[in-house]
Amino acid sequence: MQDDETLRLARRAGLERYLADHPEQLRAALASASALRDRLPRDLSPAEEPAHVYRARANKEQPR
Amino acid sequence: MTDLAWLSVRETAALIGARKLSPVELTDYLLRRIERLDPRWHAFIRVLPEHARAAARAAEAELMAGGSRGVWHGMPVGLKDIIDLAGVPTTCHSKLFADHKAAASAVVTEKLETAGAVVVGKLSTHEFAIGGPSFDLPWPPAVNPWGGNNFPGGSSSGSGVALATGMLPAALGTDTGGSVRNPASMCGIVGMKPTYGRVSRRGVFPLAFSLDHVGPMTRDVADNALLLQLLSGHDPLDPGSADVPVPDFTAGIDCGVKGLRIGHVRHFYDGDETAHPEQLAAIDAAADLLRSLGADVREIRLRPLDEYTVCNRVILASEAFSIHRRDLASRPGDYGALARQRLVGGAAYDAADYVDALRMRARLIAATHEAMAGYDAILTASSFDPAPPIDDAEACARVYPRQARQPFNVTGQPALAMPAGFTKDGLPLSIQLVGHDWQEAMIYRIAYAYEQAAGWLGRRPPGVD
Repeated sequence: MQDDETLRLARRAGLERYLADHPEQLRAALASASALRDRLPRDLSPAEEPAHVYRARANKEQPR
Repeated sequence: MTDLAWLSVRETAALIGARKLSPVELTDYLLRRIERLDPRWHAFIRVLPEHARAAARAAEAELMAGGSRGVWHGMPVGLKDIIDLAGVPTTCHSKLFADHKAAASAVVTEKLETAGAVVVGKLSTHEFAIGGPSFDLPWPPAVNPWGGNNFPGGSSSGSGVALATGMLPAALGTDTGGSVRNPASMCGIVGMKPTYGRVSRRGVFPLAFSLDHVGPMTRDVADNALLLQLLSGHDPLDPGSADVPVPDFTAGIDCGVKGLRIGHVRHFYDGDETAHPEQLAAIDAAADLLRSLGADVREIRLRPLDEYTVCNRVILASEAFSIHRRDLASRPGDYGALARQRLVGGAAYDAADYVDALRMRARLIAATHEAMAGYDAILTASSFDPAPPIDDAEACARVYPRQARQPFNVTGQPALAMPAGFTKDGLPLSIQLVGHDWQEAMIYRIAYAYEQAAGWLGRRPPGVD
């Protein structure tokens, strides 16, 4: 990962101190994570919704 | 008295119920054992002798007055130290939380104590359930007694080690990418990740909300079923908790496997990856044994292992970074090096990446259910390698991701890891059994049949007495 991309991501996430104190760790972590992002599927159809893990409350707790 | 250390929960409960074993004597015995052994194995972050003795005395007084709360009455247990016990620090094995005293107990802790269990201590973990084994934290990492100086797996490492050394008969762990099943595999014990929503996570420090599970860890299958029985149930204040019936997990545990259909997922560990030859042979031998017991074991294919791994890791990193972002930004030096690096990766993802991973998750769940249609359960690998030396950082880093546990955090299905033999060097090997949603009872039925026939039960690490 290029230094300017590391800097951009660090700034976006508020990690300037992390970058100053542990620059090699941050570069390595972001590079590894970016490689995973590149392996996410790119052929998802608009109908493919996210998995929903939060469950609806029981009927008795819903407003009438 | 040594045998007390290795009794099952059921055997111990029978002795307590018959007034042949006092909860106070048992607790004192295990506290002495912990004092003697733990300086070597580091299973505990914090031993709680006063709390444990008070609970044991209360349990004994109730018994003497004729009352009994059942199997767990007077039973010593331990909590992974991301699980709250009121008034006691939940450190998450981290300098950041060294003085983080819990205001209230976790739901699972309340269930244990209400049932009369005796919480003996808080157990080692990887820092925030992700960074380990680490040697730069306020407490040392737990060490696997199998092999003498090996990695015990993680992140519920202290739970696995406390059971494998006979310091406790039961413990709780948590599992976000395999953290109950990894130490179960490495330490030669039984660990269950139940269906997502089966066990409340309230009062447990999160790693990744949509992947976190609390699970029981024991030395045998039937004990594990009993502990899951106690832990299970709807919690309306846990947004991931499901309002579903809780069956009797031990009712059909000894019904055998004759006529059951088991899908054998070999490609995870002999194709997508290649497991250590002794591990590979152990899983194939387990398949053969289940066939000999009357199961119809057939090879099936799920999606490639790498797809589940990518999905799990992007979701985990995104959710974990959301939790740790403030501390990573303001005090990164207070984390150990491994947790600091593993927790920050989520900064690389934007909202669309996270949503894409959740959409991928829905696709993988559907594909997994379709592949399992017509089968009662899946047999596959848990770990691909036996435990490496704990002080060999490269070996630990190499084998840590070589596993087939993450798929079932992605799908939320119940999955159990259990012993399946030993290497020629005496290190535990393991299998993983996976069920349909809410079908933990089927997993226990298959696991129990395998356990009874395989003959691995009762082995103890050499040199631990």
